Amino acid sequence: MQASIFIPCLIDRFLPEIGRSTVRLLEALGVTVSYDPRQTCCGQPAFNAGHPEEAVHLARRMLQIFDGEHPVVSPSGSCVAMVRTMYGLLDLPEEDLRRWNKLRANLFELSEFLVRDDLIGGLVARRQGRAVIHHSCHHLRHTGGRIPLLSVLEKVAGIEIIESPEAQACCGFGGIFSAKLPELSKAIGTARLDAMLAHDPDYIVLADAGCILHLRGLLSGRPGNAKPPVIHYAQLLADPDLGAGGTP
Amino acid sequence: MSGLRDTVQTKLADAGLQEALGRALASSNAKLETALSELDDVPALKDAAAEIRRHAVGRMWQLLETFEARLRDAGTTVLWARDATDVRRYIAEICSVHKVSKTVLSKTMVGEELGLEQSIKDAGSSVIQSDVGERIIQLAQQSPSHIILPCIHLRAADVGKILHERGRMPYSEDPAELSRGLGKSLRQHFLGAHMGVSGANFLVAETGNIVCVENEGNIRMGYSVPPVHVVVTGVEKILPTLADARLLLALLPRLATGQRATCYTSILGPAPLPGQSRYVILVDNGRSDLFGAGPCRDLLHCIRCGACLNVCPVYQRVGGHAYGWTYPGPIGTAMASMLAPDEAVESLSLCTLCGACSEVCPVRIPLDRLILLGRATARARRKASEVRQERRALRWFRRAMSGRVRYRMSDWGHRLGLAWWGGRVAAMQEKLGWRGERAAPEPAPQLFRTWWSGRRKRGDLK
Repeated sequence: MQASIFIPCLIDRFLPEIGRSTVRLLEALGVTVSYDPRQTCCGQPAFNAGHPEEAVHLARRMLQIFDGEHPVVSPSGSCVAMVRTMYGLLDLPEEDLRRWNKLRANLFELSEFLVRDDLIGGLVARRQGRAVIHHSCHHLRHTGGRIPLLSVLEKVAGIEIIESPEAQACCGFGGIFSAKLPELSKAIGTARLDAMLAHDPDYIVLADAGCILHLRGLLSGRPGNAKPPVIHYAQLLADPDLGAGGTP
Repeated sequence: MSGLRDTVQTKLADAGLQEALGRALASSNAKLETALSELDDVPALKDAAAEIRRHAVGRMWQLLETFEARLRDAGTTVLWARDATDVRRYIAEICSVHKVSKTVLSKTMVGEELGLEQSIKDAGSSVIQSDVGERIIQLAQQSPSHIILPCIHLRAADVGKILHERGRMPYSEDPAELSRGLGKSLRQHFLGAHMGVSGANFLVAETGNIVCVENEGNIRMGYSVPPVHVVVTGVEKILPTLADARLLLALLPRLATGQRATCYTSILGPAPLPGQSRYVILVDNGRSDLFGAGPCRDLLHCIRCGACLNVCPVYQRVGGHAYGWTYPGPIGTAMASMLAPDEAVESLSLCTLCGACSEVCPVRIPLDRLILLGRATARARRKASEVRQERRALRWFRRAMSGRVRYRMSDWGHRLGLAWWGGRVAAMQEKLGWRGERAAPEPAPQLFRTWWSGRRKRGDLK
């Protein structure tokens, strides 16, 4: 099977380990991965800030780059939701609307792609310790990512998965919100972080880059040394830098 | 923007508010969960409710005409109000015709929207808010901070202090005692009132019924005891049939307060009670603008259950007053670009786009999406210099993202900026709150794309 990957700008620049883990994971499952280096940003920041005219340029660029026949896979629920749902609210010309209709049927968030047709099948990764899940909002609500995420995490042997009821509550990142109302953003995030740290986790596992940067930032701003890594679930399966374990 | 940021900081620093909101919302949300778990198929019920509202709002003008005819034939006066000025005039006329000098007013958000309390006072009548929560707000000279739970921002001790200071009762912190004390004094007001004013939850076209839900019995007293009863309600409350209302009533109390049913559900007939005069004022006040505004029409489907406020991570932290106008929380934010006064348009920033509101909504209004659309619409009403500045930054970002070379250059620019202008970058990070207690992300030593092309060159692709 072949798949094209969409590695959003935040991951490319700040969290490339998520992109690398995505590639390793897909390749371990026999997928031939291709990456188009023209790709940059899906336009979400401008759209969320209320400037659709700026977003539309980047949306059109995305649609022209990802106009192929292979499925497109991305380790970001938020960017997938932007393309799949929010592009529908943009003023796109006819030919791009056609591309959009094609792409949105062909675009998958990573966990969604892995459980589709049971691609992930008999894969087994191995880690030790406890992982607390935080459901990233767009992954959870726009791409219906809860069950796919849990199914993927089931493949990690030796780890205890903790999903508390508040795992579905927003971490307060919110893109531009985090910079417009930072005190509020940090207050919401701090409360989420406290609730997760109360489980004494070895890993804090999320599904989106924005929330990871926000919670990592808050965690590194705290005193103390023993801090669990805040990671993307793909890393739990396939990041060799996380220490022993994972899939080759 | 700094205005809103300051407001938010004040709210975050208000320990009393944080305690009151935290406790009340945790309890509301727990009750909501239980109430929904009793239903067989919540998604199907929500689908049906959404369909009922879509259908009703889609032909609301026709339905309202039928409703008006039913009521008129039965002897109820129906009045149409374009805005608060019209309502004010009607109230003045009614008060003068019936020589009203004492009024009991039941909790109504439409009333809050119109400044109804003041209109009644200006018509020469005293006004007593008859809902316990609203009465507390009235005595404290505040405004409601939630559409269902008006004094959710107050702790029992705060309420005790207000009632004590206003000479209503000795100081107490016991909620039961407080509401008993208030209830007792309210009863006397009903008996002497000339006019009762209430809102409505649903208007039924086919039968001319007016449906009101409540827990305290004050609405019942308000429409049955005084010789004049006035209903002030939004035009969007219309439904085709009573069966539609029945389905919505399975959801409304559960979503609003976690109850299977409210203590009282009144279904008034089209005729006034014997010996009573009844007026129904149908209020537009911007609703026909929403009707004509494409996807925003969905906002008229709202049944004002308030669940979106309770689950909102932002509302949970700042409470209703931070939004700066009548309707707080996600539903208010989604309406703000069209209905809020200019000074409250900034409230569109009070949203993380988490979508918990759309998920809980019983009539499936895509609130987070409408908030996004609202942000674009609201630009015309915000301070032009701020919008320009924002747009400039995003245009710069868009250009940086518009090609491989530009993308690389922006990355180098970022790294150079950090190396050469550390002080300026730090100041910017400080301003945006990405420094200190929340460290800013550093550019990775190697971009993903660099790793990818290096790997290809080395030929370790499978």
